[in-house]
Amino acid sequence: MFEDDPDSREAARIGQGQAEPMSEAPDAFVASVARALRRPVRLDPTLDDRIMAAVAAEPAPASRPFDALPAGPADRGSAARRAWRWLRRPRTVRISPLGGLVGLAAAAALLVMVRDQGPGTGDQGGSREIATAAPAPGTAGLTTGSDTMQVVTFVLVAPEAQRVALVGDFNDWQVGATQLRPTQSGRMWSVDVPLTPGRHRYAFVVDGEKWLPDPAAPRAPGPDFGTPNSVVTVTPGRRS
Amino acid sequence: METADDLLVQRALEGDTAAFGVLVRRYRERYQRFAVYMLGSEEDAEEALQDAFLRAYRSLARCEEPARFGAWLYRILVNRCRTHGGRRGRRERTFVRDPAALLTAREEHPAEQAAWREEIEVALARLDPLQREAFLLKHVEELSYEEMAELTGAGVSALKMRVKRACDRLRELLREVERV
Amino acid sequence: MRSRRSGARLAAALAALALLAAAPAAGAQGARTPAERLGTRLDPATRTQVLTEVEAARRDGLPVEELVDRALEGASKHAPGGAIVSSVRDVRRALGRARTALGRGASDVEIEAGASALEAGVTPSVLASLRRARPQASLTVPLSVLTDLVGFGVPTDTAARTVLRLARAQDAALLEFQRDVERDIGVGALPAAAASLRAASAERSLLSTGANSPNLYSGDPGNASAPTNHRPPAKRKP
Repeated sequence: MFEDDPDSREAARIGQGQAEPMSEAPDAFVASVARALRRPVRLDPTLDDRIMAAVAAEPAPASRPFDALPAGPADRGSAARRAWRWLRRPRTVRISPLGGLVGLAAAAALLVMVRDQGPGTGDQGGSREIATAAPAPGTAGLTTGSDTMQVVTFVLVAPEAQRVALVGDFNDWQVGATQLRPTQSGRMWSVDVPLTPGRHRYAFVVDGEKWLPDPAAPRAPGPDFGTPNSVVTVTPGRRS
Repeated sequence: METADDLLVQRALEGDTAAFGVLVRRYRERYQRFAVYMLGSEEDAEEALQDAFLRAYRSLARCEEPARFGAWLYRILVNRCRTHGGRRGRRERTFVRDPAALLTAREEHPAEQAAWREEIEVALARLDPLQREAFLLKHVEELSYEEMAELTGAGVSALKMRVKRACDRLRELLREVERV
Repeated sequence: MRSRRSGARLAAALAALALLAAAPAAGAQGARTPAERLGTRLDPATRTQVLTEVEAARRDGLPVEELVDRALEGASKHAPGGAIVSSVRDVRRALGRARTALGRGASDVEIEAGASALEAGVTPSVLASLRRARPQASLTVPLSVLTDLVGFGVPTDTAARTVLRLARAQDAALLEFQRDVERDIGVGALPAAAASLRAASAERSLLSTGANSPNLYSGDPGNASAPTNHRPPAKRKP
């Protein structure tokens, strides 16, 4: 059993005869509560259209799953490579014009990629947080003492945006400090940022006013002043 | 006679997006009530539903029993609601607007019905999420324990325990209100 | 493949250098004091209260950058001064509790990672258990993985259990475990189930390659994942 909560443990104790089983007699109170809740709810009637607009923007679903088996020790390298390809596949989610900026939180997709900076990364090159090699020649300036900085690429798919900024602890949360640049198509925005090892909280700000976390990245815990943030973890490089 | 799920899934995998649209229309209304009461807000429910359908679409090839697409989708939705509920916490719960209820309620003690439902929603929001989930699936969506076990991955006895706890707690929270 | 990769690396390096020239703030806040970083972005009363918290943290030997980060975040989000101070205070307390749980020898990075885990709902006893399971090597990555698993919806109990099971693994293995769980969740697996299954699989791999071999500890001298501001462990009471 995978659930580990007080009720599951109590149920296990009942199963082992260590506690009283409960009766399942029908209950007027429960029936009354359930009746009240069973009334149909109404959501926005355009929801189906919005869902289909998002689906239409997706690439066709893969006809064969890329990875059906868990990676054994011998596969570790190739599994990391496959994971890297999966992370890199662009998720083009259209932002609904109907809800204006309201739908952005649900529609934006992010790819965070850490690019290796030196030779010798072997099979582990490209995976998001795996320790990477020492900096390549010409980047000595990035090494601050023992904390080798890593370049992280932030990408946002936001075809309707006019401008996209990245804010986080690495730029003092200044909205103007780090602008993403659009790709030629204008659908994707990206920026490369050197980050010190450790955890960094960040968010995007679209068109100067809409704060967005990254739906695909872990949510940053703790207080967030009402607009959630995401976390990227950077591990230091391996010295060669 | 409506087209079977597995046929629609197959067509969608071949690139027929409209086939997936049929699945969306088929299941969105069926599952939205659970999402609304689980998350306590229509906006959150819309987000969770959209997210669930998108994830289902992206990993459609991994649906092992296309004939039971609905159950597989439901599982994704339950998962999305758990993640979503975990992130927002309880501080942003809003009440569910239900113009339909207000309409029918006019025929039978309108103000009382509306107030009763609001109290239930408040009490629901105060339940432990796993208990709320089990209560909604069992008593509002009327699934069997076996079906719930498949959706949630929990054992039947654990689910029964959660439902019982939820009922006890709701009884406690709604005790002052005389309604039967 | 190799030459393409080198080309990409060089391009990345040049772009990063250009970026550093253009945006000196990125990652360089170690050079400025908290007061300098706060500048005039807070109203005077809030600024004073925040700096008081920073001073208290510094006196306790806690890392202070996180406190300034939160204050600046609040400023950017136009949060009221009271909320900013309250948030900064919460972080200071979390840092203190993390340091207590991890032991006085914990590095700043570990303390910060521990504080994040506490904010995510992990209990101090889990932090202490992690330290006992992995006394020599840095806990930054296990704590970070733990926090992020919770951030993806894995119940805290399950997340703690799985990370403790893998406490003796290399950082790279822990991060791969996290990625596997994230991916499973993304295609519809239940978070608790995904975490438990992947942990079991990872543990089997560990055992088959000899988990007790000292080479697998990320504290191995060949791996620089332990930050060099790691203070030597204080003598612990038996």
